[in-house]
Amino acid sequence: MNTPSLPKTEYTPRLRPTIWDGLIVLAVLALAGILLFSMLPENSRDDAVLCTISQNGETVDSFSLKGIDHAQRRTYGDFVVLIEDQQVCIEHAPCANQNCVHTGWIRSAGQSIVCLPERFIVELSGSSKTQNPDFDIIVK
Amino acid sequence: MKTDVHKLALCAVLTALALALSYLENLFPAALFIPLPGIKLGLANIVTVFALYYLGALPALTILTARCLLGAMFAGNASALFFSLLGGILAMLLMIALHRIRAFSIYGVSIAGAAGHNIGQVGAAIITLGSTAPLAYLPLLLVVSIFTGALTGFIAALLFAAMNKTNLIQSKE
Repeated sequence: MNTPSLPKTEYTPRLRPTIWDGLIVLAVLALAGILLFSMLPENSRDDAVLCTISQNGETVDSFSLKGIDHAQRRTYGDFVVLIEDQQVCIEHAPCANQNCVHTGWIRSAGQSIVCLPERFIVELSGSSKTQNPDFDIIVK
Repeated sequence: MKTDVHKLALCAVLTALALALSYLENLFPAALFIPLPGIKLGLANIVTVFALYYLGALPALTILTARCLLGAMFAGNASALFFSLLGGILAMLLMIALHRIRAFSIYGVSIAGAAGHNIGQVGAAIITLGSTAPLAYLPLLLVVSIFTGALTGFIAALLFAAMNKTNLIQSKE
């Protein structure tokens, strides 16, 4: 069967992986590695100390995780954020995809939960440099 | 010209196919298995890769833009348009740049496209949110894109292999 009316292939691709494809894979992995490395806070092993919650680009709440010693629920509009054992998760969200709820618990500095449809962000930071200098005194 | 009509019709069919594939993908979201915002198989990318090789860069870009516009219209979501356009165009530009380099196969090009798509989407999220928080997702999304890109590349390769056998398409070279 020959149908000459169909357009001819513009450029015939190679259909088997080549060794050079590995170069693309390596480049993607390298980019991921560089990003990951550059985002690691200096004391990444430490638990997060500060939790910042923002919606529509504005900070709506900011609190120290270490100051919370029993489970707590905080409500921001239709969002319910659960804080327990120095971890945070979004328990309830009004968005359709529920990705932020599925993200689950976050506990380390540098982690965040982002709800794109509602522009709601829960961010954990650990570096005490950015915080109130009196902070360490309160903890200890 | 006669072939132009065929080309136009083929573009329309491919746009419809890409739309159907991205709709189908929404029914089985990959996010259920890996809870990462923005994670997906990128089935519509099979059409983009196919169009790029079969029809060329400009028709492929047209199909992609039409798919994004129509997809956002059906979803009734203007911010989705920004996300899919930024991701799609970045993926497209990367694939256009790489697809004629003989060293790379359809797999490599497809992986580069998947990675570009994720970079564009995270970029769109950063712009929309006005915060760099979404950047934290990018490393994992990039690693996943190697697998999703290889999968769509594999399907596109199967498609070309099958079409070569049917004698339906002919090579220009």
